Amino acid sequence: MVPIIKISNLDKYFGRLHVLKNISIEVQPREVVCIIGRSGSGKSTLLRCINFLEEPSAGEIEVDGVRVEGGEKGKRHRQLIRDVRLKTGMVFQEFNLFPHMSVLDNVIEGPVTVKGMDRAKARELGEANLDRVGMLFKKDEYPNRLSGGQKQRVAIARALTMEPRVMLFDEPTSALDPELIGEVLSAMKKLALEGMTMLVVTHEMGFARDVADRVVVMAEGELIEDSNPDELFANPRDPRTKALIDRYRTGER
Amino acid sequence: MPLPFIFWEWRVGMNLFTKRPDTPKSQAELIYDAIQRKERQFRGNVALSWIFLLLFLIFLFSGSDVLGIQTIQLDTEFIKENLVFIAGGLGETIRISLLSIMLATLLALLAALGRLSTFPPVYALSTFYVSLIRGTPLYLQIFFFFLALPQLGIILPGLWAGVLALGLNYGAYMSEIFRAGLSSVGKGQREAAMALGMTPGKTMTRIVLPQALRFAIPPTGNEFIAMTKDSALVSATGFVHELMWRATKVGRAQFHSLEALIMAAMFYWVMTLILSYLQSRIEARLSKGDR
Repeated sequence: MVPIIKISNLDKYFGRLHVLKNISIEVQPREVVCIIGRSGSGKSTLLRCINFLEEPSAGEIEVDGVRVEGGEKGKRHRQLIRDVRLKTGMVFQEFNLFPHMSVLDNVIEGPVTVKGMDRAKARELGEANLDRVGMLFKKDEYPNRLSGGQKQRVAIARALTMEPRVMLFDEPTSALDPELIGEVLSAMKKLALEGMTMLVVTHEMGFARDVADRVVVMAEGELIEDSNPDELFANPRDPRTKALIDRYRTGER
Repeated sequence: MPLPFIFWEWRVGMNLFTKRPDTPKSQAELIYDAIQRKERQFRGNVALSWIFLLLFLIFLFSGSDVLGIQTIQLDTEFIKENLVFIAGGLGETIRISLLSIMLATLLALLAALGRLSTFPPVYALSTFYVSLIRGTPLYLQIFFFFLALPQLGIILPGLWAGVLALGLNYGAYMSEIFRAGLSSVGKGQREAAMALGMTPGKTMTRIVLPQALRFAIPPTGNEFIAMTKDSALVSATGFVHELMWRATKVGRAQFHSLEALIMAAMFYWVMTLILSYLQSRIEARLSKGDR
């Protein structure tokens, strides 16, 4: 099968700090991949390199046939980055909804200003996606009137309305109160069942175990393990993976 | 406390009266009512004191003889004769302030955006402008446009010279407001826009600027109020016949500067009261929204 995401020999430096060390990984269409690891292991940076919110220092990223070399400059490079961004939807830890726009306007902003989509059509599409995450009833509210879980579900709908091929989730539940995590995870689970390709950086071991097709473990800027969740949680090979799993087990989140 | 605020308070007080339900009140409601009552009392007393101070000021200039104290006598005849002439400067004061604030806002926005630029000449131009203007007196800048430029053969109409001087000056100071506004928009907002595929230009106009401007509106209102008063400096050049110029003209000519300046002061005061009130309304509306 042709992978929809192909990352080859990715390196990322922050100044002298080597945060991603020669990472290569492929993701197949419809696959749900969770990336776990301690904070500072480079998992968020890896995700943000895929849509170039962080510019890779070296290496290559290919998303749905668009190939971009890291560390380049120029007009063509910027155009390729925008092409990649059109193929990826991103959900942030801090939601990052636009506070000066209503929920529906948040959701249709991308299609209208980026794709030049007709407003009426965008609205139809936006409402359908808000419905998908159970947020249609708040479409005329402003973000500051929503709970954290509701905000994150709107953020998911906003990303979906761009009709991306891949969804990237950067710790989508880490900023939420514990009782609000469930509604976001179940929206994500629904999306996974619908066949969306998803890359999820998370601390939610339960979600990784139940929903992911593959779990990737990162430590100190390297991929230390990559296997299906059943095997990973039953027989972690690397002692660092074992420590990570044990810690969450005793914490039982 | 400006007067309009007192009226507002009175209206809120009336609402509290009409909404009182018949059911007995809980402890919390009683405490809340007590706090409200205390606050209303405080505001009421402040208003009373204001009225007293105002009456005292009027008394001070009433020219009456109370308990052997002779207060200041103003020439009412002079006031009546020149009221229309001085009030005629209001339009010019408002016009110069409005035009200047528009120029200042534009310059401030450009200077603030220049401060964000990674292109050295643009960044330099912005900081150079702000430094030069803030490093010299406004009074000097005004005279520069009226007196120094004509030496080079550049003679601007009085109003425009004033607008240029005030606009350039306030633009430099207000650039800080817009800079704060722009930096109040978090990095996450830009990232969310970029992740949607927006160009840097669209990110700025659709996402960052609307939020930054909302942040900048209340302080811009303050600057506008300050500018209506600083516009009086332009009178010194003698070319713009606004409030201050008219007051000094008739005051000096008839040796009645006391009356003339008091009249001008009252006009400025009332103008700033009205503007402050309008600004508090705008601010209230903005904060109701969606930060």
